[in-house]
Amino acid sequence: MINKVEIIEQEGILFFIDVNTAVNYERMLELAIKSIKYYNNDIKIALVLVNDQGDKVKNYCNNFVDYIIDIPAFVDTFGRKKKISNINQIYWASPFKKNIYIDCDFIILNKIDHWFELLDKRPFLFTSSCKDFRGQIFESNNYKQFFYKLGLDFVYSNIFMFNKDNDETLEFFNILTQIQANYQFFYDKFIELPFEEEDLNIDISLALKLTDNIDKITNNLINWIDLNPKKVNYTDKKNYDFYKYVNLWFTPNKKIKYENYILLDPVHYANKKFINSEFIEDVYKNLV
Amino acid sequence: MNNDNDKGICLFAYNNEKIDYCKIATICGMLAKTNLNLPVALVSDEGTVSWLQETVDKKYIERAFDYFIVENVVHESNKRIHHDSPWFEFVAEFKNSNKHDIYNLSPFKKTLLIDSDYFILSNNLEKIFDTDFNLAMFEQAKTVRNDYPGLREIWLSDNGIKMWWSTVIYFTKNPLTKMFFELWNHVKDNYDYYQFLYKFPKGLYRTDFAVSIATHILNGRVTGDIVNNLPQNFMYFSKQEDDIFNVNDQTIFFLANDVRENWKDIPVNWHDQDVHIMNKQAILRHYNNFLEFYD
Repeated sequence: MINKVEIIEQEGILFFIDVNTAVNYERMLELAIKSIKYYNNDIKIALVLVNDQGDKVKNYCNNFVDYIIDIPAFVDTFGRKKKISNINQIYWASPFKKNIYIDCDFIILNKIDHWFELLDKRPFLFTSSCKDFRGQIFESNNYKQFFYKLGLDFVYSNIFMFNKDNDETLEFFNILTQIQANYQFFYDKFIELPFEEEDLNIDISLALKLTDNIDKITNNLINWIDLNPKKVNYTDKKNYDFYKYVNLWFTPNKKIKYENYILLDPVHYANKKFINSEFIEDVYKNLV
Repeated sequence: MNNDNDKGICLFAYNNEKIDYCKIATICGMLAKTNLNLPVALVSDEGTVSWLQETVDKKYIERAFDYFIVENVVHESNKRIHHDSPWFEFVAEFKNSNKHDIYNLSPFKKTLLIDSDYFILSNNLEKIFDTDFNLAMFEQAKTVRNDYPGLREIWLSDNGIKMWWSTVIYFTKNPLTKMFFELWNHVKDNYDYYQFLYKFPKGLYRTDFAVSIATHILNGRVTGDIVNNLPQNFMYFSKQEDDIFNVNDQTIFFLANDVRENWKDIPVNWHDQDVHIMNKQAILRHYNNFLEFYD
């Protein structure tokens, strides 16, 4: 476990990167942060970085991040497709009292500072719902059923919030740390289904269950839009590579228009290739 | 015309060379008055009204309609393929180009506009007049077989907007609804442009598409609540491929066709629930049976 970073700011947004040369995290992060800053200029942003690739990423991100906290890898993720096993370290690494964690693959063209108020009465919270591009609650029923069969409650890991220096939050992150460090053991014991790889949603759901914190999974308190998949059909390219098959515009008032829908909530695009698309070039040009 | 009416029902009926809409509207008007106990206004042209007076018994006309609003319109050509069962089809003009004018034509402050082939067999829609809704339509529909309609009658395109049904429209007269109907007119006038933008099927001018786009625009191009749902979860409809094999009082016996295996029908006994009957010739074949109830 890393040495605890003292609280410097009352509230802020946290990003986490375990550097992976196959993914252009820096650019994703830049877009996410610059979109946040456009609408929430005062919000402080911290990047927790697991970095064994030298200072390239750090130097790049220095331009637009308020705090960069470089941490050593608690779990060695070398060679893994998804490098998420050290995300639990954000609890100790964060310089903020109130934290909103957001995945790098988001574009946030909204005011979101009111989200911090949700932590006034809760130690932490997760969400189990999001919207589709039409702004309707996305019913990922198959995924929810899958969790249900594992004896777990469905939870998203893309956005969550927590108060640092809180006993309940600490207990949760301690268990999450143990699960992520020994996921095969925990999966065998509590899920009884062999997984080839670790899944962060399952880690979180299991940690919530083991710490008796299922009530921290909320519905509809945090609104965000998931562009992928549109339908529950993981083999259809039109779902994953959605941007190649739909018309996207960046409007003059700095909103994304997906076909005929204006996206009013934070957008999770969940596709690493999207960052190199023409549309994103257009967003950069007009936003940055 | 009495302009002080608070609430009432409006119907459109413009005859073409193949379908006698005034007879269908007569049945529709009588059913609506019987079950909702509200005045009915018929919007039509001189030709259709004189044909109505010539071919329909005066007592039925008096029972069905309280007002006649004569609106002679030169309808743009809008040919539609009609089906009468899966085995027969014909082409006829679909005269719906002035439906958005209802805001100006309706003599009522609170209007329920229904298509003349929407038969009211319950008092479900009575409740809408007790709401403070500005505008209401059906968002969802089901066939009399309890199937959902095709995808293009749920979404305008794969990534498109939700389709609202213009079969039944409730509105109160106010600036917001005026804007809605003007927007509808604008979509109609620029139909090709909106077809390109919203990617719905080309060809026939469908008021369902026009109201859906007007709703979407008024909502600020997001899913919103400018338009409410009518007080019923689904609009039930019988497809053009369905037939009617009997009518008894206010019970309609359908032969509901299987869209995938057209040689298969199931009999459906339909009552106490409003229904949109798309096979006009089937209605006309049973015209006298419908009237018997009122003799």
